[in-house]
Amino acid sequence: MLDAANQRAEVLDTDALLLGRLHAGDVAAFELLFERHYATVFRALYGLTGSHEEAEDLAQETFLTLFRTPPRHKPGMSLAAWLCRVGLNRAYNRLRGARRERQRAERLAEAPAPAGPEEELARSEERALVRQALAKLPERQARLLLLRHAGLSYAEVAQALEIAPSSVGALLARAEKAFVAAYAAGNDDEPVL
Amino acid sequence: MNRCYDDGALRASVDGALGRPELDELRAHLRVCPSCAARLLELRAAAERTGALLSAPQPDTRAAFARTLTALDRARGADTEQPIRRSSTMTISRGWTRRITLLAAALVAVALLALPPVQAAADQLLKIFRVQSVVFVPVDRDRLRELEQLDFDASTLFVAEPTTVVDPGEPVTVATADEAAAMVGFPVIQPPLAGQDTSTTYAVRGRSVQEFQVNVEAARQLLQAAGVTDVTLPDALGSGPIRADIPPMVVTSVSGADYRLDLIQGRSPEVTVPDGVELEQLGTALLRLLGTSPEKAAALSAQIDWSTTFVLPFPAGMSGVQTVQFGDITALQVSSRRSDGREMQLYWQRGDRFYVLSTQGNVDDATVSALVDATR
Repeated sequence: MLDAANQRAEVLDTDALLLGRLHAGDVAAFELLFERHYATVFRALYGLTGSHEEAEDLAQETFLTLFRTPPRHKPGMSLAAWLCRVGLNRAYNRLRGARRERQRAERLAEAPAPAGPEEELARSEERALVRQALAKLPERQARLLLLRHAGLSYAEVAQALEIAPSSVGALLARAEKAFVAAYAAGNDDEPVL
Repeated sequence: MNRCYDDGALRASVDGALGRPELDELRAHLRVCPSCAARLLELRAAAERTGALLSAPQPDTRAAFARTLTALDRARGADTEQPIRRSSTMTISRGWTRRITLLAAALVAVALLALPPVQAAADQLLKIFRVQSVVFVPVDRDRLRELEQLDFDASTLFVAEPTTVVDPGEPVTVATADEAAAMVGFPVIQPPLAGQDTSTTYAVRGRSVQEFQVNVEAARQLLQAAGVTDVTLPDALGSGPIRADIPPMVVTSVSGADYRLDLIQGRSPEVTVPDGVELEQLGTALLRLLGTSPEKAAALSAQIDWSTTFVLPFPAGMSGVQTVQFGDITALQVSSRRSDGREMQLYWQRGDRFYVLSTQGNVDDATVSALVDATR
């Protein structure tokens, strides 16, 4: 994970060059940026949604935004951080509507047991609990976890959340404790089927 | 160094995010401070647990890029073609005209189904056969490109213009599900999405009967042009008209601020083919046209009951097609993504009744699930 972050740090300059070409409508530059950053954006979105399809959908929207309105490169700017921020903004916007929240809760409560092997069932239950646990955290804490565990460096996480890089460790420690506790509490609440 | 470390520094050390001198100092401190060492263990455990719970499968970046390019192309095309929002009657009327036209072509050379997008292919075939099972035939993208470049005039496949024996007329819009049910002769499901911000319409399409006769020679030329020389189409295929009797259907459309949902409910059509036409033979021809090897096509074709099986050609590597289980109902789901939102189509069958659900925008899984349940 850290290797990936370091590798990204080394390619910041090329990101800047590619962004410049992208502003000129260069699709090949878009492809290179897509290959470089797609997996990171996908991981952050999968962490939040727990759905392969939804994460792909949101990641695609994120890259369409990049293609249509690429950001102006500034010194020290991380494109991975920018992309993750755009993706998570979209994801949270989708989640926000009160009606949607209610229906999500209903779905979690009423979802019929999917057919399939037991491990698959356990995995889908785990994903639901992960989403519940994330929803219990303050949004900034949840974003911090998603960004860091998607593979962003401390500096990139700091940039995406507009916080001081020196505060990432402390915030991360607090967020992870809260998340693990929320997950464990959700697991206990789960009715025995 | 004797002072204890805060959680932030300890946590950063887990990620190797501390500088070398700071890390050395921390290690020295841990050797003499069981309290900090214990906290470090706790923090590492929480970090690892979080990492495991938030872990994601490896995405297929190449496929995702291809889909994104398609979405860009489609958005560009849509800008020049027509406005995104159309009135519901317009949509239904145009949609049906297109489907009926394609239906005729599909009956003659099912292979043509490989050419339109996979949703459209699925859409047509479900109206033709009594579907009981689905076979997915992966088609190589290069093969699809070859087929597209054949530049074959589909109209030559007919001896004459297809004739309309019973004209369904324009769809009739009614206000309630009960009125629609009275017209189609079966109970009409009402989508569970009622509210002040929604509008619901029921459009009933009358019974339609179409007849057409195949120009076998043209169909053979199509196969030949596509490089399929090991399958022969029987003369019987062109010996008499093929007749498709499509019972009345109802299209329920619900739209809200950020979504649109269309549910087609109907009975399976009856298709009559001339005596002496073996469906297995036509099936083999289809598989060969799609690029399946001769041996595999023969083996597959022998296994499939062509009168009840829906063959869905889809580009190899496509990830948006899957079967979904709703209790004892197996549905086929085709998802696609558009620049203006998510689009999904779901096909399922209950007795002699078939259902095609199309959704755009914010329609959640609970609504879809409730709708499928309602068809029990």
